Amino acid sequence: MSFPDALIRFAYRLETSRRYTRAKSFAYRLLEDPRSRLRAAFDMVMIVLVLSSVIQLIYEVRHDLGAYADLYELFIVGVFVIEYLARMWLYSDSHKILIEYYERADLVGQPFLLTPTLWEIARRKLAYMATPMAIIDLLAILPSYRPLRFLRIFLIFRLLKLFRYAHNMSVFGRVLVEKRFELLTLGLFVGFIVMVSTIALYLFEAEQPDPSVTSLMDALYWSVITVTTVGYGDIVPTTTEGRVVAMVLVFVGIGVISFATSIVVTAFHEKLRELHDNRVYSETERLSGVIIVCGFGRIGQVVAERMKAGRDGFVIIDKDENTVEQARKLGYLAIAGDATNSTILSNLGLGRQATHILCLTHDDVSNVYITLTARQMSPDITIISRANKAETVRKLTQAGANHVVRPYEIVAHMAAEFIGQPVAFDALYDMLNRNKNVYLEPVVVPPGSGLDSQRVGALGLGGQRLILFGVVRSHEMPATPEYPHYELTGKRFYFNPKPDFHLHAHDILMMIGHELSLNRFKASINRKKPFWMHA
Amino acid sequence: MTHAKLALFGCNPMAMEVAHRLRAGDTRFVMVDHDVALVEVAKREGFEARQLDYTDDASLRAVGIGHRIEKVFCLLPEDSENVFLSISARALDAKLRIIAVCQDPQAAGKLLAAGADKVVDPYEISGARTHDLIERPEVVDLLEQTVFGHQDLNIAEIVIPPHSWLNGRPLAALRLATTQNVLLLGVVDVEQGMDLIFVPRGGEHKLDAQDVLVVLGPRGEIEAFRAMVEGNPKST
Repeated sequence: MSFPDALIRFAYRLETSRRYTRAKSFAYRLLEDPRSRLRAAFDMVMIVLVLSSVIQLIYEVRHDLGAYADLYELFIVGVFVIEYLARMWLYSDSHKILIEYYERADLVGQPFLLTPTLWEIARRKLAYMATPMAIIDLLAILPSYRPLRFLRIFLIFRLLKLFRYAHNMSVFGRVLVEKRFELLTLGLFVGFIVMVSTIALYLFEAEQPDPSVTSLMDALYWSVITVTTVGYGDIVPTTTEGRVVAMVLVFVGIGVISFATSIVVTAFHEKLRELHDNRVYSETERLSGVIIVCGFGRIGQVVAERMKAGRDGFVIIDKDENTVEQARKLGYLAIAGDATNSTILSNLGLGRQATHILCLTHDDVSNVYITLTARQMSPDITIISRANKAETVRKLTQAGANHVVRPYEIVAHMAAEFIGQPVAFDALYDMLNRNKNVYLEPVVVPPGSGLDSQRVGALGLGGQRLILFGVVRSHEMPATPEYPHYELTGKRFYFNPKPDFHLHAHDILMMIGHELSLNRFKASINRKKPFWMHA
Repeated sequence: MTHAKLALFGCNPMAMEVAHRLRAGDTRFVMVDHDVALVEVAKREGFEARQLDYTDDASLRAVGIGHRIEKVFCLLPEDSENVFLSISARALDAKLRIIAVCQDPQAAGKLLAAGADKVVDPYEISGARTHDLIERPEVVDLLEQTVFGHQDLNIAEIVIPPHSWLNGRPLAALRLATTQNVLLLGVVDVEQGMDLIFVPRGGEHKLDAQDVLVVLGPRGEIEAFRAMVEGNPKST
């Protein structure tokens, strides 16, 4: 078997190997994945390593630390080298390039050429090595090379390496990159001014007897010190012409400094929101289950208030900056943005730890759109959507909403009931909304518990001051024709079951009772069945 | 032609929703709004609608407030409009039942002070419903499909008549006498306030005339229960 053949077989082996895939995904989570906790921990360790090595190298300049220090330095360099190689490995999939080239050659019926393939692989890796962070990484390894003392200066690069691990620091770099056009313009302007003033000062001052400016370098140094408004005063112009240059330069300097400051300040101001959003994203990431609330109108506020009381993790997204500000004042996690944007939703955990998404905006069109987006991104999330118009309900269900809430319908319903039977309706309403201590509570029958295959009559509910409203049973259980029931979607509801009705595991008992009675009942079923009852 | 005893103020989408629901329940009513376009929409839907300025007492009298009308729904979009309407209507008729919606929770107290008997906050309720869908979806599903839905399981209130056999008997006696497939939730003793006395805890409560029994069940069973409560014990 020739060498290229062996190489291609090896590439295919890697492609199918689960261990290789696992190792690579682990490396990705450790080094790159912006969401992984592993990466956050790794970053912390690396920061400590970098700082300790820098402190050690500085201390070593004047002191001798012995063999252990050398070992430690060796260890750190080892870690750096491994990290560097791992990042290079992650940057591109060489075996995939190999397979791609091989299959392409196979497709057009041409012989497979190894050299261009290897060149492509090398090109990708070199592209990685040329990235600024990779160069910094490489230079950070150098200071430990003892024979070349001047390499110590690259210690600075070890500190620059911190940029990689401290993510807020990299925002500063991004600000400068984003404003490069303005900064470049300013730089060119300053360069021009400095050049003119340098030459002018040299011409006026250098020919004086006993001049303080003896070379063009002196003039340049003076110009820079003056234009930045630092003004040490070690070199001062003595001729009238030179002083005129100085006066003009001072005013230009003030303009330059204020212009530069304003560029950086506005750039940071623009970035501030992004920084804040990143904080919200990372806090959302830490929650194990999160409910995404789209729209912080009145309904959103009521839901948020209740969820806060119930200690659910949730995050709010609203288009309006002021609304978001209001939510933040209440101590909620909130982000200003368009909830129809799938990137934002994904950052908030849709498709990962998000359990529910509530589409509560005023606009039916937006709600349908968010519902559709959410359903596409996450097939098993629970979507609760608001509909103002009756005809939107069908569209929302079609888009994938699990439940639809219609404020107007609720009002209509309450109003209609209120005409006929105000007292009964109020009582039921209080019970549902838990306004009083008596309420309706679902209790699931756990398999193997004391309730499993028990008769309803034997539960002694009256003695516990509880009312059994009914039993909800899944359609998967065989129907019991002797008991009448109501059909629900996927379930049957046995209203007010007779005392000889037998319970099954996973039935849901709909109990009405006082909070204390309900809690006692729930606690009692979770207790183990006594051994004499196993038969 | 008999006159409507219910006036519905507002022809906005929310009011239309209420109107549809009322029509489904065979209730007669008249809709009022000051916006001609909205009134036209309501008329096209087949409702009896009038264009009137409700800030004017004479117009309110023309609708029938003060004599024919017994109940008023204030479904106007602004809280201030509903407050004004409640005050005006209450001034014309002290016995009128006024039900109002509010947008802002702070307006609820003002509406009650203005004379409304019941204030419905649609957003508060919708928010609560949404939260229930997260916490207890089974309960919401069950009620929406049964009691609030179109299946034959209803909530009803039965007022004990003065001549009933239950007069002076304890609540427990009624439970023993109940053979129908109904669930007796509790009783509201109007003399003691509007709180529900929950059945399993109030066994010794003495029933008397004007107490309101709250029951759940299929329509036929509720009617049988009503007959039993209102009639002679020997006949059941």
